[in-house]
This record gives sequence, C-alpha cells and structure tokens, in this order.
Amino acid sequence: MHELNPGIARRRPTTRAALPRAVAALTLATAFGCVGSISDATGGRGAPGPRGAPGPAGTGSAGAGADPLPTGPPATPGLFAPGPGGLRRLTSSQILNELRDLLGPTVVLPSGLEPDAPVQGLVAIAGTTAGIPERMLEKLETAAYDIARQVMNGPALRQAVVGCAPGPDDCTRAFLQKFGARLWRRPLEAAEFDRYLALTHTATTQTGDPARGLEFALTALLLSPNFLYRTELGPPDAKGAPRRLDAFEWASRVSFLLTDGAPDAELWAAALSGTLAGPDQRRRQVERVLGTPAARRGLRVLLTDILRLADLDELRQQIAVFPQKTATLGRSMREETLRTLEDLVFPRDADLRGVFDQTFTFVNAELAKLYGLPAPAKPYDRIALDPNGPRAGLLGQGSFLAGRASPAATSPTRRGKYVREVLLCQSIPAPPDNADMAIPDDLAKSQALTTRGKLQIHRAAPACAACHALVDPIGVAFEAFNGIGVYRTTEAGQPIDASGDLDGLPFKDARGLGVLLAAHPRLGPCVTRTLYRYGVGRVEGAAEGPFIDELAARFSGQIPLRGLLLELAAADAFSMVGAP
Amino acid sequence: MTIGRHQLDRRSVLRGGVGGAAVTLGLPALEAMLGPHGDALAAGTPLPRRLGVFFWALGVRLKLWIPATEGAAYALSEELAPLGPYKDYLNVVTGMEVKSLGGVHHSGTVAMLSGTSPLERGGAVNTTFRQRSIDQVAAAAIGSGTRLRSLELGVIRDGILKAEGTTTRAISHNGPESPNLPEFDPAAAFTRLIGGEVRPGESALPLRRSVLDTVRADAVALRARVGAQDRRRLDEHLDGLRGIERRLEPTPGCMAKAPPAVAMNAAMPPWDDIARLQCDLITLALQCDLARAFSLGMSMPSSDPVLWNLGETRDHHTLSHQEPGEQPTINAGVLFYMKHLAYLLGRLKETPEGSGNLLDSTAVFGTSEVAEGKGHSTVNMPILVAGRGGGALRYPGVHFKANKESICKVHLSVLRAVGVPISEFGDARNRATEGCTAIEAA
Repeated sequence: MHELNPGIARRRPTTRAALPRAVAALTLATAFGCVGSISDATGGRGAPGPRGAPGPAGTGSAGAGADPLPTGPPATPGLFAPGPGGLRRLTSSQILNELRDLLGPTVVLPSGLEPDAPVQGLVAIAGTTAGIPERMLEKLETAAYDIARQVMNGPALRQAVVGCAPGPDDCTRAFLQKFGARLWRRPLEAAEFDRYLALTHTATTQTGDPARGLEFALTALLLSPNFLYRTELGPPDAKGAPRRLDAFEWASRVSFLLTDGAPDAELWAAALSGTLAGPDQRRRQVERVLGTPAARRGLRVLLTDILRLADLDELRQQIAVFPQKTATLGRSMREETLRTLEDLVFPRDADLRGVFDQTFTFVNAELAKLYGLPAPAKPYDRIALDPNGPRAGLLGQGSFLAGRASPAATSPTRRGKYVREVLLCQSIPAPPDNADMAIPDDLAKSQALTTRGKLQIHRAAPACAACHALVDPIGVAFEAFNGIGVYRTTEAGQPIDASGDLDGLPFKDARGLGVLLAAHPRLGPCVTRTLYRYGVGRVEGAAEGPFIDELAARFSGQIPLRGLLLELAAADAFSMVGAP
Repeated sequence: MTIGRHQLDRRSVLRGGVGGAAVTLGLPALEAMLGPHGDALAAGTPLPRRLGVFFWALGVRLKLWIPATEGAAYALSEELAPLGPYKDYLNVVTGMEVKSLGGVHHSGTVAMLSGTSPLERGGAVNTTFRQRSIDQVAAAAIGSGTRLRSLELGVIRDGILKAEGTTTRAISHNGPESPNLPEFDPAAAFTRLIGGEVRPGESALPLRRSVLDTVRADAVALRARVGAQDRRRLDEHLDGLRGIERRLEPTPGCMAKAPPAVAMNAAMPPWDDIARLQCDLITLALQCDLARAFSLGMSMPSSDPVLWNLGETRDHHTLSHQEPGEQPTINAGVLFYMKHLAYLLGRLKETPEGSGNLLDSTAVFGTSEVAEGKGHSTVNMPILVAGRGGGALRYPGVHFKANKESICKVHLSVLRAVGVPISEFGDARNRATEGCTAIEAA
C-alpha cells in the first residue's frame, strides 16, 4: 500500500467531533438476543458480525463506539487503498440503457428482465456479487436474437450499425471494430476478432446471406460476458496493487455511475485516443458528462437505488383499507420524489439538507388529491404546500409514507428504520429468533388504541423493547399520515400525538423531525458513503475510509449531490482498484 | 437415447386444467421403452426417480395440523384431511428441530430448504441462500440428462417482497445470489418445457450452437483474468450456456397441447386454475422425463397476497398475525394449499409408469417458512414427505413424532431416496449424517 494522494492523507475529517453524545445513550440493555444498539449499517470498515451486530471493529455495547461514521480512526491514519478489482455485471436497467443509447429509439428492447435484487441495500452492489442464473440467460438469449434480427432487418438501422455492405471480411472487421467494441466498451483483442470472424463465416455460409452472418455475430456479442459484465481489473498485464483502471474501464465506471449507461460518443473517443491519462482531462470529461441529459437519467437511477424506491412499482397497500390506491399511485409517488431531487440537483445543485423541510413539491392529479392539494396545471408541476401545514419535505411524500408502511396500517417501526438505515447509515437488528410476534387477541381487536399506543404496549416486552426503542420514537413523527400518506388528525378517536425524539433531541411532529434530520451530523457522511458504495459497487473496506471522509468533509457540512458526484468520479481514488 | 414421436391416443389423453379443457397431454413417452417387467427401461436402466419441493408461506395452525396419533395407523388431522386419498403415500413428520440465524421468514425458508442459516446481504431480513436448495442438490445428481435440469413453478405472484434479497423471490437456489426464479405463467412454463420458442436460429440449429460456442470461448478467456468469486459467476454463465444448449432440440416423444392463456384479473387472480395447471405441467414434465427435480411455490416466503378466494379483504400475512381466536381464515389457507398438494399427488398417482405410477418414483418434500403464522416461530415446522421415492420411503406412510431431531435427517432421507449419494447434509448446527429412518422403507 502506498499513499496515492498526499492531499487526501493530510486533510483530516472535520465532522467527526460533531456526533452528539446522545447517540451513546441509545444503547439499551440487551435482552433475549436482540442487540439493542445501532451499528454502522451493513458492515464496512470491518466485517459485520452475525445478525447485523457490530463486527470486530465495533465490538462492545457503546453505541458511539460501534459506530464508525463519520469514522473512527482508520487502521492506518490517512492512507487510502482501493478495494479489490473485479467484474461488474450490468444491471437490467444498464443493459437496456446501453442498447437504447447505441441503437436508438426504434429498436424494441426486451421487457421481461427481472429487476435485480439489492445486496446490502443497493442494486449497484448486486452487480459485483450476483451472476446471471440460467433462467435469466435464457431470456437474454431470446432478446439477443430478437435485437440482432431487428438490426439486420432494418436497412437504416443496419447501415448505422454495420456501416458497410455485409459480406467481405473487411466489412465484418469494421463492424466488430466499431460497433462490437462500442458494445463491449473496449476494443476487441486479436483472438476475439478471429472468433467472431469465424462465426460470421459459418453463419453466412449456412444461411447464404451475409447480413444473417452478421446477425449471428451480433447475437453472440450480446450474449457474451464481455457485454454483460464490465471489467475493473486494470491492464491485462497488471501485477500487484493498487492498479489504475485502463482508459476504457475508467470511462465505463464513470459513465455507469453518472448516466447508468455506457460511455457516450465523446467519452468513447477520448478513451480511444488516449486522452484520459491526466487528472485534468478526466475531470473535464466528468464535468461534461454531468451536463448531458443522460446524467439526469443516471441521477434518477441512483436515487431510486439509494432511496429504495424500486418497490413502488406496486404499492402493497390493501385497497379495502385504502380505497385511494390505484395501479399507478406508487409510480406517481416515486416520480414526485425523483422530480423533487432532480429539481434540487439540476441545475441548482442545492444543498440536500434543504429538502427535509421545503414547502413545495411536484405532484400529478392523483397525488394532489391524496394530499388535498389543488390539481396542478400539468402533471408534476411545482406546487406550493401550506408553509405552516403538516406536510413538508422529502419525508412528507408518499414514496416514504406509503412506501414504508404496512399493507393495512402505518408502521412507525418501518418508517423509523428507514430513517436510521437510509439517511443515517445505521443498521437495526432484526427481531430475535425467539421473538413472539403474535399480536395478542385483545390488542389486535382493539379499536380503542392508537398505533402509537399499541407499540408502547409491544415495547413492554423486553425482547422487543431494545430494538423498537431505536426506531419507533422516530417513526411516530409520521403518525399524522395514514398508511397511504393521507393527513389525519385523529386515530381511534384520539388526537394524533406525533412527538418523539431523535437521538435525545425532542420534536413535536414530522416537520420538527425534518429540521433535526437536516442538521444531523451523520446525514452528509452517510450520503457520501452511500454514493461511494454505489460508485464502486461494494461496501468499502477500512482503507477506503480516508477518501470517503475527505469527500464528505469537502463541502463544509453542505450536501450538494452533483458536487459530490463530480468529486467522486473525478477523484484519483476512483480510478484505482486493488488486485482482484 | 432417442424416443420416437408417438401418436396421441385416447387412452393417454389426460384431463386437467381449467374447466376440463386445459392441458391435454398425450404422453406415452417412456412407456414404449419399458422393458418386459415394466420397472426398468428396455436398456436395463432403472426407472427415473424424482424429487419435488412443495412450499407454501406462513406455516400451519399446529393444533389443527399435528395428527393426534402416531405410527402407521395415525388419523389425519383437520388440516391434513384433504390429503386423505393419498394417505398411504404420505409421511407426516413433526417435532423436528431447525437451527437457523436470521430474520423471521428468512431463517425458516433457508434452513428448511437447504439446511443452513441464511447469508445476510444487509441485515437479517435481506438475505440469500448459502448453499443449493435440496431440489438443486437433487438436480446435480439426477437432472443432468433431462431437457431441464430442474423445473421451478409458482402460483401466487402477488405481494412478493423484492427488497429483501433473493430469499423472498425464489425457493430454489443454486447458491448465494443465484435464485431460480419460479415461472408463474403456465403458458410460458409450457413453452420452456416443450419448446416452440420461435427464434431466427430455429431453422439453423447448428448455428445457435455456434453462437453458444463463441460465447463460451469468451467466458473461458475472461475467467482466466479474474478472482475466485468472479470465476464462480462466469462458471454460472457457462452452466447457463449448457442449459440453453440442451434445450436446442425440440422435445421428442412428447406431444402435448399448450395450456390456455389464463385471464389475469388483478383483483381476483385465478389462483386455483393456475395451481392446477402448474401441477399438470409437473406431471407432464415427469411423464415425459423432461425434468426430474422440481419445485412448486404456492406462495413465496414472507409474501403478503390477498387470498380473495378465501374471502379475504386484507392480506394473508397481516391476517396471520392478527386474526383473533381460532384463525378460521388462516386455517382455510392451509386447507387451500393442501387441496392443491392433493391435486398434484393425485395427478402423479393416476399417471401410470411401468408397473406403477409416477408417485411411486417421486419424493415430494412439503414445507413452509414458519411453523405458525401467528407467532412466526420456527419451532415444530410442518414437514410432509409424499411419494414412495422409488421404494425407498415408508409405505404405507406414518406420522413420525420426533423429539427435536435435526430437520436435515429428513433432507437426507429424501435425497438418498431419489439416488443422491451423500453421507451428510446441513451446516454445523443442523448437520445430519443419518436419515430419518422412521420414514424410510424398512
């Protein structure tokens, strides 16, 4: 290991001291196996112990000690070393984006690809751990034939993709050299040329049609692991570690981070011409890509992943309990959140902290109705919220309120857990094996108790209390919104009590909690760390901590998402990997 | 081996499916190849053995599930009553123990299907399998010669959790992050079984093979550059290519009419029709020897569908926690699942093979993710072993009441019955080195 960036090494994180002592007070007596302490979410900087308990790096029961965010002292202060290199599998969305970008809007792309299952909270991490099971490969094979046929059957498209009259080896070579390389995001090697030339020959001979010869070659290019995976290994002759990604690998890493698609024409040309060698050149490309429309797409995919919005495709709310539910409502809710953050990032790049109490939003007609707002002139027009009303900010939106609820009711537990895990990067242990989750009959039947009241009774059981105490006092903030996000003032005939506390700091309702969250010292480091994980597709190791800390500290407490993405993508650290 | 294409004859047309008009199966398939004694193929190879998994979510109501008496003369309990016609073929096991760390639903699912704790992927309720599930353990040993190494079907596709890792998406796994997602659409499942996918290459099968060879060479070359974990992912790619290759040829000797498209009514999905069609397809797959390992997920782990057919307006999952008293709706859910298990067993039993029937050669392992929905505990999980497993399983069946023995003993019995040569099963907490002899043939 050696010091890659003295600048990184010298600068010390500035936010570390700001953790409120109240965090330590969160640790409760351990009861019946439920570790009643929050821990740094899903590992990182040391292996997580079983059941999400603090790992070796954070053993012990002191909350703050088990809590290396912003960070505890790194193993070797100030030294950064990148995580291991390897293969990144394209997600379903990346496959589709790359093909759409390369082939244009006329090609019909496969619709049946299963969305990826998140790993450690992120689909991006699934890309470095999950492979392609047989069933999915089958679907990809069908899709590959279908796409190849469309390309070779459409004269204009074929001309655009092949660029010459199929038949001669020169044309096949040109196709492989231009389109094949673009598809694989790197030039083909000599052996690969030979292999695909041979396949084209065979197919041309057997079908008697040179265009069909190329059709089979294109099918194989699409089914190849060289398309479905991208490498982050450094040059083929690289030895030892760390190693620098080659220009093509770097271009892909940056492009998939920022656009969820493969390098665009200009970035591709820069990689081909060898003009990505210097840090300034790389930074200019990152700045340029961030200004393209594809960056907006990339931001939406990124936010969908890190805010866990994918499952809003289908709301789990029951129509018998929530007649407001429609087939499109969940997607509308996601769109509201994405528009809100898009508005923040492009073109303003405003401080993310502002979204927790802002009093405007972006709704369509059905959401306006749900929120009791006048319908907007156009879907997702910006619309003002009552500046003194109950609903404000990101956590006043349906994507959170309905997305983190039970099918038939609110769930302060799920809502509180989301705040801890996603916004503050703290993990909450799951119920112990021996937890009795049966709801006593009288409690289940009770019409007289509020959800808050029922949870209080639930917390009387010591086995349940330890963990619920970490999340419920946060989640009750949102009790003024029912399980699908409609504002309410009473439940079970009683006025709503939405007061609670966050790490010892009291609030009286959701707006008050929003203010506390915006000022929470963990928020910025947590967002930064999540962006880093999204970018590298892994949970960081201890030696990557210094870079993340430095990145988080760079904006003096502000959280500009685009600025963070720029600094991440352009960083020297982001161009390095360890040995595979 | 080559099997000639047979004519559909009336004797072999089997009933099934929606309104009697559904999957028409003309399947003499193996029959023509049987030797004179009807218990082995003409070439002297024994009849194939098959392993199936039948899974449903949210357990049972233990007091209505556990038979009051033990041994061969046991009386079926209320919730097992639908299986009455197949009682001889049914071994009921209670009192087994499963040791598994992980969030509820996850710990039970993974341990009951693979003998280990789940592998955490971000908290205890975001997990994947550590090892192959038992259907895949069987497939590795008995599935290499069939068109599908294994068949994965599902019935209730509503309310599947997509944010808790692969454990809640599929009951069949090849290992971590490698789920075999169930096919919920009978028509699509049929196409995969029989062939008929129209691809440009269909007229030129050797070319499809050439494409696969080219891709295979890419994977092998890339494999040489990467670390151990990525090598496993590329091995999976190579396995997938082999799987596609073995399905290039259309299925010989097996004529069947496609199931009708099932009209999906979002508010009232026809779960009963779909379940019957999927059971018909399993029967088809076994009869034509298209697959020897299968799994049928009636509902996925931790899912929360509304079982409208039981009169529910709230989801079954929430109801399992909250329905007061004797939980009549939850009980009805178990009866619904058992009704379809009975249908499957019936289809297998009425399908002759050699001197017996398909149920004689099959072992079906039936289980759930928790013992009881109400408390979500994994103490005293429901376990059924149906079929004679080629003569290796006890017949007539018994109710065996264990005293906290490892669930992996049952796994071992079932896997050995179908010919998997293993000496132990399960992780360190659950490991079994001997089978559950009470349910094995003497």
